[in-house]
Amino acid sequence: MLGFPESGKTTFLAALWHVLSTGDVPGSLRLGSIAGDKAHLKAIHEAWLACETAVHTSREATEVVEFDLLAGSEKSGRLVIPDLAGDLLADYMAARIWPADFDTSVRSASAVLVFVNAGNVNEGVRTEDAIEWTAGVAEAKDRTNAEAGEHLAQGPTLDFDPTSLPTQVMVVDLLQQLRARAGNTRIGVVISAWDVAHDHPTPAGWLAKRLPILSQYLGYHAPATPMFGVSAQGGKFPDESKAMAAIARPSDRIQVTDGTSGDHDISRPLRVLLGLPSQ
Amino acid sequence: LAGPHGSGKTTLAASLYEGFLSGEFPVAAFVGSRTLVGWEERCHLARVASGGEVPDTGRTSREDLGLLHLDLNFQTRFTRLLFADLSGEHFEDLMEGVENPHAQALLDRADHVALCIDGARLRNIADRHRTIHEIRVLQRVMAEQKLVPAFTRGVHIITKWDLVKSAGVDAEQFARINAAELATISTDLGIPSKVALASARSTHEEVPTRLGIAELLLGWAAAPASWGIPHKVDPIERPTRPFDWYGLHG
Repeated sequence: MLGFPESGKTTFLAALWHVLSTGDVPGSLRLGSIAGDKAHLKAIHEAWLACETAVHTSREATEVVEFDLLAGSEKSGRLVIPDLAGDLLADYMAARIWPADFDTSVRSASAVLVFVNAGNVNEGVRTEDAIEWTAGVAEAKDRTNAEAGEHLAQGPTLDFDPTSLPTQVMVVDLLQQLRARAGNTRIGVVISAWDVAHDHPTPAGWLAKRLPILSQYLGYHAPATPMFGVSAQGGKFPDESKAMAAIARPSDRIQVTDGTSGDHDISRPLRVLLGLPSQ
Repeated sequence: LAGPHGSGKTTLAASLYEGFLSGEFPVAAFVGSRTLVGWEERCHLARVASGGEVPDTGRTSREDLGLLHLDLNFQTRFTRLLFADLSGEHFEDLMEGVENPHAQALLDRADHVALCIDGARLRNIADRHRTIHEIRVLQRVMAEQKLVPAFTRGVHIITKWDLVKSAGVDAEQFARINAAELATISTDLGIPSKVALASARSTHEEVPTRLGIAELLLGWAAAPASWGIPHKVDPIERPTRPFDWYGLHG
């Protein structure tokens, strides 16, 4: 599981653990045994059950969670999830270094699930576009004309910050690093907070429209990349917490779609990515 | 990308990259880039994140190596583009007869050279002739000193075309006529060239944002069959152009 800060990894992990451990979603993978930081899992799961915002992975920690996956009653594989703090990943954009143990995980991973948050996309909005949106085209033309003519004095600007680049640029950069280390790693994409992506029928369509260079990059290097829209919370917390809490079975809050079919099975992205059958 | 400082080289390059970010180039798909941070840095002052009130482009420093990379897929044809976005001071050195090893090393490997004519300066009677003169000198130096290889193709780009358009018919005619003459002279000197109009931003209702950028991209991506140098790893058929080593070992 890889994603930058606020990309939805932690909530996904909480909901995944719930579904794996309860087995109340037909067809989902089942939990065998679990290793790693159970306290972290317990905390994020309790927050998820209470319809509260999950505790995000701390900056200092690289939480490693290991699941044995069950197909029926048989062990079908082990899922190792280094839930690396998103902040640490963002830092690598500036320093071009990352922790050695993370590098080892990346090199040995057979598959990677990449997260982007439909409700938290840094578009890298251009000033020219913002002026047009807020002040109307005519004023935008005047202002830009003035600037271009005699170099209108501009107030102080903020320094370039390589840790807060547009979302699609950061994810493509990350994927390039992954492919440079393990070119055959299977890639899957989870678009989290899918409940806010109302105007796009499919995850692939959303990606092509909102994050075009990521979509094109995957189209060239990994055209069979499975893409899922996932709402692990079911709604926005705290605004919709009350409505969410009223749903009798918590796993019914979960929405998962690949663009053609939808269900509550949050293990589906893993099943498809790993080539495991429905249980 | 060649031209004096302020001629719009960096803004042109940044606009090309921004076109991919906004999915505006259906002719080509983004395949990768090893210089994403470099591209982003060039776009920064034109972004809301900079806090600037008007779109701007930072001045490229003399120390900046200026190489920007894009891998693209034109339908089914993979193309690797490496742009040299140098500070204008490097070219001003060449115009003044001062040796500039960095610029010369890059020009020596250029498949294409884009001579950027500053459209903003073509609007003013006081500046326009000097602007044309500078490009004339630059292309003469490049040709006579054989700074570019024989296979290099040129394009004379009138940048900031929206500003030329806003200045009226006189400025537009002056720009078109003089750019065409420069391209003819360049061709006669051995660097075949044509004229292109470009506008990275839009300040004129008849000039769209990113005017001419997609066409320039197509031109730069087109590899004339006469080059005939395959991108294959073969120790016997060694590449004759240094940039092809980048392809082999990249």
